Amino acid sequence: MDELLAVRRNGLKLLAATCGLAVLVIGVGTALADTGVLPLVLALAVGAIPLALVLQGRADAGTRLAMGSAVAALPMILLYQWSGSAFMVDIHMTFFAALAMLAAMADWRPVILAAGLTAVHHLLANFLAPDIVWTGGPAFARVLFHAAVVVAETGALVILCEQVARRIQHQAEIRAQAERIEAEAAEDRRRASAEQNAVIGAVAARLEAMARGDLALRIAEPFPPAYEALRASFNEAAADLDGLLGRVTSAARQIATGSSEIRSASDDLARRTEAQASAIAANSEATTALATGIRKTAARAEAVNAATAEAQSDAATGGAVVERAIAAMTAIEQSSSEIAQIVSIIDDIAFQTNLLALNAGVEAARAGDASKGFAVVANEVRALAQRSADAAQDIKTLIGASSAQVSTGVELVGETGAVLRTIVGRITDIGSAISSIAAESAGQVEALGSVSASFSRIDQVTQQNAAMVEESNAAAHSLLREAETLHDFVARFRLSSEQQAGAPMLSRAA
Amino acid sequence: MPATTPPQTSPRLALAAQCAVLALVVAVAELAPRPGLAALYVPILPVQRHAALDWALAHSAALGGKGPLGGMILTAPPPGLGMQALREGALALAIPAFLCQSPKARPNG
Repeated sequence: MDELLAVRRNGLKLLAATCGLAVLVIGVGTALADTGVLPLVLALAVGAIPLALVLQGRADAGTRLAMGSAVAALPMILLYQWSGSAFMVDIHMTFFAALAMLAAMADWRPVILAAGLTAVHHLLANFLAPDIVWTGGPAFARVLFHAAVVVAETGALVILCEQVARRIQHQAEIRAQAERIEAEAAEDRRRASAEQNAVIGAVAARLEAMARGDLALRIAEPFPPAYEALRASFNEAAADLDGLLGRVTSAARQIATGSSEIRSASDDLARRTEAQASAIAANSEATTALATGIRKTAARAEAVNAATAEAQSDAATGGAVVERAIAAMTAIEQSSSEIAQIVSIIDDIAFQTNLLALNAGVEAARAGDASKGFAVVANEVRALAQRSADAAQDIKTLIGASSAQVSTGVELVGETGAVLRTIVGRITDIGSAISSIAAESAGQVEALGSVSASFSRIDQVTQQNAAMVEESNAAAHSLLREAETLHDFVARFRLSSEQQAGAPMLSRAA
Repeated sequence: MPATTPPQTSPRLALAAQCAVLALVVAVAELAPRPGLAALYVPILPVQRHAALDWALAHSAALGGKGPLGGMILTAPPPGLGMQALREGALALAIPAFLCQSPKARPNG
């Protein structure tokens, strides 16, 4: 309604200005027309009340009706002022203009009033003073025509005013509704803000307590319905966190205990693994040494085998040598026999030479002194023959002894050959055994190589295990420290399970 | 001659005063003497001397006889007769043409 009133107030101001202008025109016309100052007096009188009301800032229905009557009366005054002049027909247009200007107030009642006043004025003037409205005397038909025009204009203006007023009212209602909605929305926002502040304050207090580690707090006071879910969610979250941290605390304790046990076990395992690694290293070294020894033994067995083979070969060669020795002995025996025969021959020869020398000596002795030298030679030959016989006899004896010894040697060589054959057989057996030993030693070396490789792998794995045990030990120590840190960390929280009787500042979980 | 409404006058009183002014305006516009029309001079207050009537007669008006309900009929009333008559306590009313039998009466316009 304020908008419509403002429009009407503006229309009143416009019409007041128009009235002032019309009074001014009428005032000017006072000097020009023959009707004197009465029209000006009438114009001032008819415009005084509406102008005063407008100057008071009023725009009520009475003011509008007063202004409508004044606007409708001014053309009458103007028409009266210029009655009898040629401007009368033209002045009639001011009636329509005035009627139309009343639409500025967006009120159909002043329009109806002005139209009625105009109709009354014209009807009365048609009978009482037709000269002020018509030229040529009374004409009721013209009155009807003018009335029809005025009615048409009035109807259009009424419709226009009503539509404008309704539109303005509608807009004002819409604006008022919008303002009401805005006010309600503002109230809702204010209420929501207050509720939010209360909710935020309550949640903030709990969150601050929660930040201090107090997880036993709950929001007990009810929230507005829109935030009740938030309170329930907060309490559920706090309870979940409370329970979770309770379980974490228990788990931290168990982890700490388990970590301590793991650390002890890991230490023991590290020590045992270290000892195992040392033992495996010693075993590996022993195995390596054993393999080396066996390998050397195998090499020696091979060497012995080779030596045995050489000995076998030498024995075989010895057998052959023995055979040849036997043959040589036999040949020596034969030669000895032949030598004995030759020695016998030589002995015979020496005997005969002795006989001859003896004969020669006898003969030389008989020949006297001329043959004395000869006799000496014969003696010497005889001595030589005797020594030859003696030597032959010695040789014969020696040869006999040699033959006997050769025979003995042949027998011994035969026995030696037999022994050598036995030795060759034995050496062959020994070679076979040594070959078997060498082969077995090679197999043992190979097996020991595998064992050594296994020990190496075991040692490597053990070393890796030792390293892993070392890492596990370090991890166990770290886990224990972390568990202790976790335990210390969660120990700062005050949980509902640890809640003790007291005077809580805020509500606690049941 | 109505007075202007004082400030803070009630709307009803102001509207009533405006109605009175309107009635006066319509009446004056319809009945005020105009040049070329005969006028009826009607004394309202008892006066000893009708200066306005003398003034009109001195300004080319002529007596046309007595009115049917009293007063004097003036032909060719001069401009300003209405105000002069009001000052003398009388009314000067224009006589409609159809009530006027004077051959001098002529339509204006």
